[in-house]
Amino acid sequence: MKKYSYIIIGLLIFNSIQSQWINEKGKGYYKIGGWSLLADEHYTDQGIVDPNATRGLFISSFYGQYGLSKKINLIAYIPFLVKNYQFAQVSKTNGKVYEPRQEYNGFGDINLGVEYGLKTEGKWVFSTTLTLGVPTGKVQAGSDGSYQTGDGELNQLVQLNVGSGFGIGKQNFYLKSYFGMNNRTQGFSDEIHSYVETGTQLLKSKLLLLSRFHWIKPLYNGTLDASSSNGNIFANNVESVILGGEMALNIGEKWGISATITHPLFGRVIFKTQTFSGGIFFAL
Amino acid sequence: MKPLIFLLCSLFFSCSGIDLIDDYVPPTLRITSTLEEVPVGSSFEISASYFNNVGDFIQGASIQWTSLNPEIISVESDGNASTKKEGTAELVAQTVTEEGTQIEARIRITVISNVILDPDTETTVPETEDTENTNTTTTTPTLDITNRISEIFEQTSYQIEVDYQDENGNSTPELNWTSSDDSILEIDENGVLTAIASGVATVTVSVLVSNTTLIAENAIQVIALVMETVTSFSGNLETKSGYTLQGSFTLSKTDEGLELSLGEDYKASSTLPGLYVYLSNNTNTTAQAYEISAVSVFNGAYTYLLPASIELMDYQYLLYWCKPFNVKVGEAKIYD
Repeated sequence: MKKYSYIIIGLLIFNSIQSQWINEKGKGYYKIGGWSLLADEHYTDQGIVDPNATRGLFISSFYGQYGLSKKINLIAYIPFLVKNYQFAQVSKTNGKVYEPRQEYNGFGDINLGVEYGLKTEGKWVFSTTLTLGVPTGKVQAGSDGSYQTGDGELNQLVQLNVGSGFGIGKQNFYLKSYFGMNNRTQGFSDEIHSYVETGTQLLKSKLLLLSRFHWIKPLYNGTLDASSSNGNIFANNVESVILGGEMALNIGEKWGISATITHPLFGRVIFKTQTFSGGIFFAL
Repeated sequence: MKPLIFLLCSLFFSCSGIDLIDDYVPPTLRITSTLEEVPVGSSFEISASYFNNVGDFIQGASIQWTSLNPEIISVESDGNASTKKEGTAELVAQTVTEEGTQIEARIRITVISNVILDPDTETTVPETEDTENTNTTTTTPTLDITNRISEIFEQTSYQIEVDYQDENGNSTPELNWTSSDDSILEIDENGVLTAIASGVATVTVSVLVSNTTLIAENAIQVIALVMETVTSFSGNLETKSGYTLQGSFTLSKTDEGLELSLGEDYKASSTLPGLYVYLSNNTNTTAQAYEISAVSVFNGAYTYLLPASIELMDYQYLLYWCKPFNVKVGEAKIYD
């Protein structure tokens, strides 16, 4: 449940830095990285913070974006290793192990997308993106089914992206934003995605610093809940308001490294914890 | 320190840490017998269970019983008790915890009369078996039962008393005691009757006086021994989390076992995956709990049937718990 939501959020935030403008034809942007969270608290369905057994999630993934034409980019996100784990549950009183550490490793849900440049030149650029969440992960895994790596549904996220540049003094900044609608299936509620990102380059454009804000709001039109999930323990009606920051350092002419941190400001049915990610990117 | 661990774990793949569950609860000695009233002259066994500092039931724990009112109820150390007279007695169970602390539990039991007195008195029935009168007496011999009863609990005893005077005013006759049905009532030569089983029987006492047999009778109904016990507990569910949980419940004995009934006002959050309901003696963990069922009904009245192996006082709490993520949702105290 909460983990899946974080997979999506991680994907969107972790890889958004490079997609502010359409790649030229034949050019691409690729990244291999890891994304991780560890949580002993979560937001309830009423937005209240409650404790939970410490759960961890680590995703090793490949992200690729390729310019098919001057206006069309192909996008793929492949989480080739999703590791779900939970700490051992041990009695503080007598040291008895109530539940041993559990973990499940598997393939996650792939995201495939296409971005089309609506206006690719000028102060303001516009594009639209269609991303399909392909249910290639495992819906139920582990001893109780809760170590899943996918949600079992094919969702379609449609975004309208906008980007622009501006300056403050001698420093140039960029601003990008999108508004998206995620049509979810299998009884999950549809979602509205809102996203704002701004950043600037330092050290002769070798270092990029950026911050971002991401809000996912469910429409509460799904039918899936604990009474009708038929064994699927993914939570429905997940909401999150996430603040994040990223640093990307160009080391070579065509490659660099990046590190990201996010922090939830508010949520419903989602872990309350920071996430960390890092990776190597290539601009080829 | 914990945030640093989280940061390091998150950065370096995954952790193999542990969650320490704060599962301490005070060790408890719980009297599991639910007796409230017992009749005079009866015997019964009283029992208690010991739960350690994490709420685990310790089988075979050494529990010693004593009575603070042995003149009313006497009890052997193993819990076998017998009632002596009407009144209220307090029985004490004691044991020593693993930490060496002596703990105890107490129960007050009321001893009630085992018979219902018959207010009607019967007159003596003189039967003349031999009409040969050789004496001229001034006093007519009489025989009567002075403490007649109409009912008695089975498995209890009662001393029948008679009033007799012969023609010379003597009151020490050789009485003959009989029961019309020894399978229902037995009576010994001293007039002590023992109720054996349900039914009606007549006790007859007779004496032969100068060729005349005097007879007194008492028809008695033996009723089944039903000791007053607690058969149900009720309470209210209370959320202990950010999730909705409310409503009333009743845990009650039935012929088939226990029955947990949730009231019409019951409501639980349906957003949690893997919500389960448990019976437990520790509100901080489900490790020793009895898992009743996954929750499938989240609104309104619902009933869970529990196996006969579970007794009414085996568990003190109802727990609602998100099993996969070990989240305590709420609880209800079944009894104090």
